Amino acid sequence: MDLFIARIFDGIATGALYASVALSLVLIYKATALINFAQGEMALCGAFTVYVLAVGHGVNLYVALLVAMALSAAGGAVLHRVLIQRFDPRDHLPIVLVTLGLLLALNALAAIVFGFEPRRIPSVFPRGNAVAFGSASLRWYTLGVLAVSVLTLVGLTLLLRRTRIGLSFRAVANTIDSAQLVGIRVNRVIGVSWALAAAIGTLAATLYVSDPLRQLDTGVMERVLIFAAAAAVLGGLDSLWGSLAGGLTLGLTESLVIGYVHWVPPELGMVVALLVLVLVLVWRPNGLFGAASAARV
Amino acid sequence: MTAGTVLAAENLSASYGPLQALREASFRLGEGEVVALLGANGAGKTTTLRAITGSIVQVTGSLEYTSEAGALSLIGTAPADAARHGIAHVPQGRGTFTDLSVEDNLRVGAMTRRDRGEIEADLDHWFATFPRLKERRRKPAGNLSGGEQQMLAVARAMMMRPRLLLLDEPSLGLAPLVVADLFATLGRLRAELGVTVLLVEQNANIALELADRGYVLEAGRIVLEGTAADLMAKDEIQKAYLGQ
Repeated sequence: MDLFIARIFDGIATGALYASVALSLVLIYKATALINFAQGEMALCGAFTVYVLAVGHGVNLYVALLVAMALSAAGGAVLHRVLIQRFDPRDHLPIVLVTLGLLLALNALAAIVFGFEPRRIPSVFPRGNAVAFGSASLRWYTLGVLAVSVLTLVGLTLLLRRTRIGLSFRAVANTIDSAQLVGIRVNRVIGVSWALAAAIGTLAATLYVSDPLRQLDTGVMERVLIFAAAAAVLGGLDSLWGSLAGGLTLGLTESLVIGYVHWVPPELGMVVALLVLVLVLVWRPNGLFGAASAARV
Repeated sequence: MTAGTVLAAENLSASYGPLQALREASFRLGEGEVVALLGANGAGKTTTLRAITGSIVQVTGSLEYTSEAGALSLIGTAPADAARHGIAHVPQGRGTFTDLSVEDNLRVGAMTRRDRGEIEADLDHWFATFPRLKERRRKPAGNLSGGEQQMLAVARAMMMRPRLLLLDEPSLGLAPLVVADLFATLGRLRAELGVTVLLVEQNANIALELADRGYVLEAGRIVLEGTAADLMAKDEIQKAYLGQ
């Protein structure tokens, strides 16, 4: 029983991080109906920035994290401006190919600068356990990660619902042509969503590798991106809360299946997660929270 | 340009790739005028509106617009800029933000404005004008009927407090009674607001009842122009567009 609880907690911690990265994917998906495949590697660069600042230059970890998030936001906006904006936002294939190219380029860049040697980022949350249930215990890390995911989600929801930029964002997400006709500068709004997504990605990647059980290396975000993309699809792709549900579902599935189904080797955890994805989509084609867009014409 | 001109087009041509949809059209909109742009499907009516708001790239000729800030050329402006100059364009199919609530649709219409208090006042004004929209203010706009969406589109455009309102086939796909209702409303609004309107319609009869003047497009060229009363009386209009 204790082991079961421990596995649940593990699943929640990982799932919440999948959810955060999924959130950054969903943000860009909502605005432009495409997935930024470079999101994971952008976040990787952000996490390396935290490493350079905090470990390399002895900057306070939290300051380093905030600075890296701000730099990532600027970087995201610049990438959008320089690489993405030159394409018609309604024409998806060229943009998707560009993001794939960016994935490879950023990954290679990180490898050139940092090599393949794994590194450690100090834990963002206090080490040790917050609560113990028998021999199972709830780590501060798990609580912290979950709290950050939920807060990010609440913050984004408020931003979208309550602010002017949020209204422009929802208008662009709904229909670009009409958004232009009411005077919204569509590219600027999409640029802001790239900036926000990049900052969220950096936060999530840093938290992910700051788990004392993990390390920072150039390959670490590949797997996270795949799970996050799956979580986003599971949640319905255009739903912020759906990405949390999707992330937690996949994190828990991964943890429990690897823990209990012994003929599934840990290396196949990802395949199991994708199997869950397929099953859910067969049952609910729009994902757990995806809205089938209702419109009369 | 004569005094009080809002928009003057000289030899305006527009094309989509090799396809020229508008050929050397010249027309003029006076301040506060309602002008109808008539013609059959494919005559170049929608193209004319899209040329004005910069939704198509290949436009030649001159297109002089006089905003409150002064005169400027609209050739080569982006759609978002047209809106910032006070041009509201209700596209064919109404351009509803279907996933947004009715109220958010109206708020989005005021995106170019900063005068918060006035925006709230305008919101109340349009809800008073269209009580049906008020009843459904929190509902997704995509759930409205076609007629309600057209009302919403007009109100959304007016939330911009435009100097020039472009309406593309507002009657399209609506039942005759709904069309009559809509045009009655537009008639009231023109008296109330004094906004300059360029109205594209296939339904020439109802458009000319509302309009001061009209232009008739045929295969991308303006073939006739005149006051609404003149056009109404012309034989070729009667035959071609009024089905008599």
